[in-house]
Amino acid sequence: MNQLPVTPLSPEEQQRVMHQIYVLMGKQVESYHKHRHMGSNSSVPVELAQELMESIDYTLQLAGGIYANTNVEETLKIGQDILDGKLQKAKSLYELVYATAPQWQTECRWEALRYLRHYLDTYDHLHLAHREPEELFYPMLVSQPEGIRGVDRCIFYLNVMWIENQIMAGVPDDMLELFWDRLMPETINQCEQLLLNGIGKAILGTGIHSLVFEPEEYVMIISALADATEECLSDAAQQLCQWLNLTDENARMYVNAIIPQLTLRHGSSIENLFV
Amino acid sequence: MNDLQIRQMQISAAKDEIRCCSELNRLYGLTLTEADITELVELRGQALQNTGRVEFGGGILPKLIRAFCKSPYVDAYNYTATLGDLQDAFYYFKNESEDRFSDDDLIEFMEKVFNGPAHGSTEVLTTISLEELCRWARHDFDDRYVDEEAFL
Repeated sequence: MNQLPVTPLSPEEQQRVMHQIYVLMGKQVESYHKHRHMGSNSSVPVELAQELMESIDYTLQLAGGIYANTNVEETLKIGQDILDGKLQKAKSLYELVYATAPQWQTECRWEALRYLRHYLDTYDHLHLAHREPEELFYPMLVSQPEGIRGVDRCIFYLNVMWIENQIMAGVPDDMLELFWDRLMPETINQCEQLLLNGIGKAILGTGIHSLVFEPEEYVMIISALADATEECLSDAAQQLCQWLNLTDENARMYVNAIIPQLTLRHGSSIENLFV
Repeated sequence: MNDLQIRQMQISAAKDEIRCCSELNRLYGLTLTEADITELVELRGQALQNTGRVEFGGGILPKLIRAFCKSPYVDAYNYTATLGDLQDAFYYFKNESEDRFSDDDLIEFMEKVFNGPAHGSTEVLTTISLEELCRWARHDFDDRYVDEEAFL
């Protein structure tokens, strides 16, 4: 347990808390097996016991830590209720992401969605709450914050995908189709490719009736990017947000986050950046 | 909570639960002295360590006592040793079966084999019946599939 009490506990209080955790572990072992219709089992492999303990630790932290309440079992219950809320939120978010997913998305993106569905279907917030989805094969433009654990990691992935869906929803299907399997070597995913092309078009001021670059536009964007100030790039991002009808603040921030990446890649080959 | 504290709690809980079975033992002319209880609890710790398992609460011994105290093959002389062996066998089977059997199902199986084809031999129970355990698992504990000759 990481969280320490504000005032040191007396040996008797420590003993009491330890005993409560011991009893709690026994109950969790019993509940784990009952939950899986495995009948009564008094013992578990060490590996499973460690996982159950990690889950208790994680859940207690959500509810303020092991010393948040004099009764550890009550704290665990509060933590489990919090987790239940998070799980419901994640499921709703999944439904939203699934329902709004663009028709033209890569197999990798579909696979990521299927995996998150499986994770949510099998997530056991009562006994193995600390378990989180593995790193997705689907690359995302933003890296996950440090220390994000359990179902929160799933919510993070889904939030990013929801933002991407909103961005891609602003592009007509026939235009999106051109991007779904045409990623340039230096772009991370389909959505980033779309944003890069969109910002490029905004810098050139040619509108987004076509997001794909014509040969003569490559020459123009090279010189435009060489002279572009950060303000100019930021204006282009705002222009793109308008074109895409993005009202969600997070989605707008997501588009703006492309700017530093574009500046960083300024030295790289433009032909490797824009479709 | 450190290992020592956990161990002390386990020992204390296990001893208390075994003591609770003394009345039942007496009904069948069996007794477990404090020394016997201490020995069995120590053996339990070793068995758990050997099989890489952790147990909370009183452990499996009270259930083993309830199931085997009425066996015609146990008496006051071999009771402690038999319980120790059965305990070893139990955790071994538990691991071998990858926890697919509940404690009660596994004990029921062990009891049938011990009182039946093994004729009270814990050695036979641990060395011969593992294959049968798998066979029973495949056939969902259906008595029709028990081949008693395989144990002899």
